[in-house]
Amino acid sequence: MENRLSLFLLISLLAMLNSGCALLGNHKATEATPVNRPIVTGSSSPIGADVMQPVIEPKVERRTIKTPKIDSDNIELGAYGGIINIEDFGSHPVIGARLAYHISESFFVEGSYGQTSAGQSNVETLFNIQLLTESQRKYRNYALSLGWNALPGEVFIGENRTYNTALYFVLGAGATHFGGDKRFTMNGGFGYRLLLNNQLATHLDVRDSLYDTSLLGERKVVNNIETSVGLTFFF
Amino acid sequence: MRLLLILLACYTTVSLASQPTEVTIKDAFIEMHTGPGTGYPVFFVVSRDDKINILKERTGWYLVKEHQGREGWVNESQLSRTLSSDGTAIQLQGPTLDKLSRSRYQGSLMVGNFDGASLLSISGSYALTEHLSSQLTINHALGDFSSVDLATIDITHTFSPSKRFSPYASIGSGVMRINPITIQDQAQAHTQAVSFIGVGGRFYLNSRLIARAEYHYNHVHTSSDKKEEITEWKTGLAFFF
Repeated sequence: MENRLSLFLLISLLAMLNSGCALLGNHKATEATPVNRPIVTGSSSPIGADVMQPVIEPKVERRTIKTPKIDSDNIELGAYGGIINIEDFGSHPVIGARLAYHISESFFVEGSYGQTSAGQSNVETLFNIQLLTESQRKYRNYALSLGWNALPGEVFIGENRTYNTALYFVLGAGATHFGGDKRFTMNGGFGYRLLLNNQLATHLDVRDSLYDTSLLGERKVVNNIETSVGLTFFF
Repeated sequence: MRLLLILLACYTTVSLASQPTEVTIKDAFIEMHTGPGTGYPVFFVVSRDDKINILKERTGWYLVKEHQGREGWVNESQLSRTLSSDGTAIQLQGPTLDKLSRSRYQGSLMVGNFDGASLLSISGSYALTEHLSSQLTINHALGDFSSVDLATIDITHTFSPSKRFSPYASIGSGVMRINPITIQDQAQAHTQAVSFIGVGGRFYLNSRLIARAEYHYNHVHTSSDKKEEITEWKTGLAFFF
């Protein structure tokens, strides 16, 4: 009986000591216990304030993403020269400029301008008359076109030289100023681009400009076919 | 000759301006093409953890130089997980629908009809906010008896900028110059002020391409009491930067 009583007292004492130690060492115990439970304490006690702090300090590292400044070479600017056949007025040398913006690897938009001076028509030569003044013989054409790089490829010149090429088609609309008249003009054609390096390119182009006119009396659709070579650079 | 000198000056300036960016490959490998396009053949492969220099970009393709000096074009999709020299991720995201709604500049080429005459239109716009943009347009209309040059500036409200299709409305004004076309008799060209309201829709195609169509109701401010109204519609392609 005494032994049982002693055992009971000993357990009670240990329990009291344990709970006393727990109260005294509350700060450390809280750190070890990751449970955010409310504890009723005196307002001046620092224990409550410590408990309200987050148990685990989140270490969230923001992922740094850089957007590097890299040169974009999507604009192509250049000049061209060639021969244009102005229907009824013969073939004449033409010069012009082209500005293209490459939207994707397949498509580009292009603005082009070309000018020449037309000669005499067959009618004028035959009957020895002048239908147009000198200023009216000035031929100017501009076009806004959409281009499609249909066949990208390579050309091999000799054993060690390789150049990138592309066969492209263009279709667009513009205007032709000729003979004192301004006509809405559809244009279409194809070209071959050969890149000498990553910035410089040479072109071989064939374009047809279609518009209707009644310059020589009868109203008709004329086809002015232009063949040219050009040099452009990307920037 | 002058044009050639300008071209040469631009070429030199551009060549000097390029600064390579060094990055580390984090994909298993990247394929170097001979040109900026899927159709150009792959001639070299650079593997993970190798360093490359990015020299320039063209239509979603990057000209890179690997450590042995080979230069080739790599598609943007293969460079999306590369790291910069200090270990941070770099962003090489190409044009997407998401980027369209955040883009600042747009250009467009359109054709249409201006009161019966064939119309050519070129415009550039600058986004003031996600919905509002300011647009400068130059129109050239060619009829049988006259040609019209019309320059306008407008404010456009895009209703759903983040959607693939979005209607828009615009209001603006400008100056119209009418040039009569008569071969024998030179009639006088004259200039008039124009105000307009317009509605249209844009559809994002892919990459940087957008299809556009719009209708304008123009009011011409004439000195006489005669009310002059011109209807205009046009359609074409736009692209964003």
